[in-house]
Amino acid sequence: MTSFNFKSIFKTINKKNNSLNNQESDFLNNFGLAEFGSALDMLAAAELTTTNKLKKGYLNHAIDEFRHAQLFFKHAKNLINNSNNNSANVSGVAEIGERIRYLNFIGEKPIYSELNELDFINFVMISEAAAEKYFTKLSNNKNFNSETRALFSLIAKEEGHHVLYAKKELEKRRKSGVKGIYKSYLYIKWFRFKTDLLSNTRKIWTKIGDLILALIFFIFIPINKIFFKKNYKFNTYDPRSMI
Amino acid sequence: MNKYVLGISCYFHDSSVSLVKNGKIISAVQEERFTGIKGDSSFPSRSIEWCLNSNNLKISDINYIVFYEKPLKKFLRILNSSIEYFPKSRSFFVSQMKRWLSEKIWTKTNIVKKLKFSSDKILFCQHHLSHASSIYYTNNLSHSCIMVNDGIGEDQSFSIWSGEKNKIKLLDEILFPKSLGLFYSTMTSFLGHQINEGENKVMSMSAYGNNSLDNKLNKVISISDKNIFHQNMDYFEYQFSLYNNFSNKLTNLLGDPRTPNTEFLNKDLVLLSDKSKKYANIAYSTQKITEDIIERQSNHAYEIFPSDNMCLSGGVHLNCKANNESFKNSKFKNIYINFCPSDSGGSIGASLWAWNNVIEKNENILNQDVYLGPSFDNDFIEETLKDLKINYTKFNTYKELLSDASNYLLKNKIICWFQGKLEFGKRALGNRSILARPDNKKLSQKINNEIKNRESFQPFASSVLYEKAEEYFDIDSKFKNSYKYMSVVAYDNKKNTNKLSGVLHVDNSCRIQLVEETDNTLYYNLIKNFFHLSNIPLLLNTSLNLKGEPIVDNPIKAISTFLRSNCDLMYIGNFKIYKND
Ligand SMILES: [Fe+2]
Ligand SMILES: [Fe+2]
Ligand SMILES: [Fe+2]
Repeated sequence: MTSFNFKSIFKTINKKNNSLNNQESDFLNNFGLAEFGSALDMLAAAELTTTNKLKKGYLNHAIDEFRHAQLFFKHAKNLINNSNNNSANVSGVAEIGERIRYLNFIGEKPIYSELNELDFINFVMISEAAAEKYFTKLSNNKNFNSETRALFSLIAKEEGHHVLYAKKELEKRRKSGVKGIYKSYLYIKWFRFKTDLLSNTRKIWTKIGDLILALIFFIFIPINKIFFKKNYKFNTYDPRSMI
Repeated sequence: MNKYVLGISCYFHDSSVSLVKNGKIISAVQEERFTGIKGDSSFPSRSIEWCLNSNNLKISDINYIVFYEKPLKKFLRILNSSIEYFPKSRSFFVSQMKRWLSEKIWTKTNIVKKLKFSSDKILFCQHHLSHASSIYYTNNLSHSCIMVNDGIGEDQSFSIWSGEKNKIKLLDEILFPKSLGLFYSTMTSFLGHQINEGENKVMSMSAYGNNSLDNKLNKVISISDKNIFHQNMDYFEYQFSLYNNFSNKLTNLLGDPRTPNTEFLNKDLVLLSDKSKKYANIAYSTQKITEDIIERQSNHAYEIFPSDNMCLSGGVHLNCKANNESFKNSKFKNIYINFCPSDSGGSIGASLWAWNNVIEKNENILNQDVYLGPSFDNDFIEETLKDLKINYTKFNTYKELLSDASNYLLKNKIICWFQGKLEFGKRALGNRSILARPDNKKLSQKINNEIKNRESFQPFASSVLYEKAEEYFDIDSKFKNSYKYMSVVAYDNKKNTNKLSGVLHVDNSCRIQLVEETDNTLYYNLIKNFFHLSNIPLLLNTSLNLKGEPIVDNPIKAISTFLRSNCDLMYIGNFKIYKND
């Protein structure tokens, strides 16, 4: 689990104090999408790495994350099937894609290609450790039923294994005299902090943007509604024009 | 000197890139195949990189870049909707503006900046013209009527065009908010499926229903003599809402919408409850009225531009049942629907349009190849298998591989099949497929439940030897140019029903792909080998991917898919890998 925006879903879900199945299933689906996103990150690492020995490890890690995603999706589906509520959301396939990108802060290029191998291993170790910590906390939250908690605890355990694999890799490097491991660790700490900050600033800007746009909406749209004539026919087509 | 045009489609859904060299598409791929995000709509950087690198080109070698629609025209339509539906349109306005102001409105600037490309060589085709071009310019037709039907372009949702001597002209159109495509998508979300993904599930559900809700659905949308069809917009909210497609009025008319992921059929594949019956009937009426409207559209098109040929494009024409029902009695003699009717095909259409209208005028083009994506040679595959420490068997000849694979198919094994170039478009046409014998219902149920995790009512497509198809299905010669892309269903002709039990839907239809040796030699010979062993000239064919994932592009994704699936074997290049290794 390499998700950045994970912390905020975690915080919201940890506050959960009732047992609304639909809401819970939405959260579980979000976790599923976050796991899915990290599976894609790991798969990209397996595709791109030139360290042949790591290919298998990355692929296995990706397969674990895909499985985590499916466990969350399946559990969410069970909750829905056992409830009588009809209000579950249906998103378009494009929105789901956007959600995966948002939850994992996936840009145009996979994260692996933005870091070097050593940095990436540190990145995996730190992110997985964070995930392990959060899922352990959730597994102790009595507001969830026993099945959900068992799922959280299973995932926490497996994220713990991922931490160990990454640690082992780093240890191997240390023993063979690779320099700069700690520096890389600090860099990733900073990298994650920076990305988190960026993501949070983006959220604040989004809120400010919403306000400004709402203001524009209530001032300009009514004026246009009075004066605007629905007439935007363009009959000559200029292939260079965006209109 | 060679001339190149790069077509781009993105920012809506299903981004893609296509590369035209001297009038022929030489490469095309959807961004989702690289990113692993199904229907990915982001700027297709990775696809562009691949198109250039795999052809040893630099961006400076490209003569023109063409975008598949006119962004500002679309922006104006959205502003117009916000104004018209004020004040209900508030959250629509806010979320649309955020998307537009942060990205879409800067399409030209983005292309210039991201690709370091000169802005005066960037062109913009119209959305429906891109659709029309994607079908007209991939068939060598001097005279054809063209019909485009989708959710929404800039402002058109339906259009009729004439194709004459390589020139396309607009003849008639229907504008937003009226839209057959958005009606179907709305009903898709009402029935608990994802928009732009679950439409084919509505089509599959419809076979379980009857016409008892036709009258109710007719209040929502109905045939009209004056302007093809009438749509009562009170039942919809998509015109001013990004997240709700239908209004309370529709819920009052039809009852609660279906909750996603709830069971529809029981274990014996019979409708589970009265609720399931209701949803099946809604799906039935939705599908039926859609077919009736398309038939009306086509009659109208024939009136204004009679021709022997009809080219169809736009996402609505992914509906292979409607394609059959609406055109089986049509006056058009040949119906053309190809591998890319949806928006991903926009890049293909836009680049071919630019070639034929801006760069070289009046050149005939014929390009029907659907295998336009990445391929991997045996050395690369073997190295990958070694790196991943996966045991494999190597075949020295394709003959050995084909005989091995067909023998395992005969023994009821489910195989993954990864060969040659990746296909473009929604359908797996034999290079990235999961295959099984077609006469075993249990096998197809296993693929549905344990491998693809699809809903139990979803049927499978089949790939059929071209010359044997008539012994199994009612083949209509009108569609001979469309069957090869799985664009039309055909019905069991009752001569060999027992051999089709794994691929027939409850209404005895099947989405078929007719395979000729010239289309895909290896795949054709696999089916032929299987035919020699089993006397069945077809295979069950479903795409090589798992639920929620796009079709795989490369060996690592294929192996990851295989290892996570319950498939028995994978044939990848010249190699075979097993499960328990
Ligand atoms: Fe993990
Ligand atoms: Fe995980
Ligand atoms: Fe479209």
